[in-house]
Amino acid sequence: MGNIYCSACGNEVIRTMKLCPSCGQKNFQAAPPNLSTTVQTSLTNRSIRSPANQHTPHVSSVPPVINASTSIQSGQQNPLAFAPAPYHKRLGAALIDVFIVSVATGIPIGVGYAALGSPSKDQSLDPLMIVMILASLFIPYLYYTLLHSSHEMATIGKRAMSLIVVTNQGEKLTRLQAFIRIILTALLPIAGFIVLVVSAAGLATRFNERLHESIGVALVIGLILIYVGPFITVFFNTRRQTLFDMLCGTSVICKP
Amino acid sequence: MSDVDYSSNANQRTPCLLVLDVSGSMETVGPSGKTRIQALNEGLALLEKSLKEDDMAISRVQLAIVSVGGPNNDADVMMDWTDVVNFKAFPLRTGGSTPLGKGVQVGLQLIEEAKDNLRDAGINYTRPWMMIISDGEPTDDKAVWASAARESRAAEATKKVEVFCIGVEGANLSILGELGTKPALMLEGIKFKELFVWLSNSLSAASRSRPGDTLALADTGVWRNVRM
Repeated sequence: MGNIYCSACGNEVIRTMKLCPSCGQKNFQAAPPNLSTTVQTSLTNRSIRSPANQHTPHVSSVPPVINASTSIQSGQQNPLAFAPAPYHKRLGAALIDVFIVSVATGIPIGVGYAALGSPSKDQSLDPLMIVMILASLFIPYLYYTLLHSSHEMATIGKRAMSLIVVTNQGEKLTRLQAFIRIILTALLPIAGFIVLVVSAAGLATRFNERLHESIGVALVIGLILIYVGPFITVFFNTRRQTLFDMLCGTSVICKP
Repeated sequence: MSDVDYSSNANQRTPCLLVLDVSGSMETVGPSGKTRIQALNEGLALLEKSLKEDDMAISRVQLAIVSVGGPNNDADVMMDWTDVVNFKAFPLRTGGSTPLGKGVQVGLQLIEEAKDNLRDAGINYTRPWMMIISDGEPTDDKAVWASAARESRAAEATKKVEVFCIGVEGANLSILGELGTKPALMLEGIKFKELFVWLSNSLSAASRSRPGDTLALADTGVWRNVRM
């Protein structure tokens, strides 16, 4: 929320002020006033103001120039002072990003097929196709890393929902921080999946068949917890951080 | 209409209105060598700091300020409803008399507006608080004062608002107490810091409660003159 300035004395106040605490005037504007000329103006306004609009401060229509990234990075404001991302906006941003990444991931593979044609069953993959498939695997990491560490501090989905990602100190993520964040988001569930499957397989070989079904159910529940659990934490902390955000020291907040 | 953006923060709110006496008598120097207004300003800054340090209060407590007296010598809304997240303490200036009755009426109207806005936005809220701090006697017409006291007591009795009347040295507690159903309390010396830390702690507790919950507030002995 940008600040406003008293038209009479130039005092900078928050936007919800109705009365300048310094001089008692009710006229405010978005930019600092040129005091040599505004004293006369404010006196004129005071004389013609009607009682009906006494509670309605006048704010100049010129919008203040607020640069979200610089205002946060300057460290002047507590990062907690920005509202955490609402659940529906975060879900919306995630759906948009998943769609974009899915489409983008398919492009190299599509290009590979277009160039080489579909391989027959007994034919091994062309080296170019392997390169294209590997390239497609990196696209999600590049997408999230580059955009979260960009000047906008947001992916396309988050931009559409007016959200940004910052560190808990309110600073822009470095490339490394953004990379670690997406790696954790992607790799932690995979690591958990491997551990769970290996453990379940180990247990299954030791017990008789009756227990196999129970282990199968436990495996499914475990998988759900591994993939959903890290995101459930948003409902249990005031900054609405996922487990990955907590581990990386990041927060998704509303763009100021 | 306040500038609170409920779309980005749908949390339950705990509105707290401060009706602050900034009349000329607040320039009186207290036992610590500071004027009452200096102590009040320091307390307000401490309130901001304490509330912002609380993860729950920062997104749930709303503040508004009605000034009584001051450069305009009037009672008026100084700061409309503001989420603590956006609140920034500011130094208050003194002047004029103490039209406290009008200040309370403006405050009650502001509280009703806040509740209307919250209801319209579909946001839950706990019972609003109105903390009235004054160091003198009201200078309103007797009819205005009587009307304000009646409206304020009725609002508290019907659970529309929780009223706390705090007197600073020089205040007439029996008159101040007419504004609420609870007796007015006397601030010892100018312990505004202790008062606002208590307020911050109490608001934090209130912001964690659910509408309709009964809340046990912290002991007021830290800032209250128990001899009065």
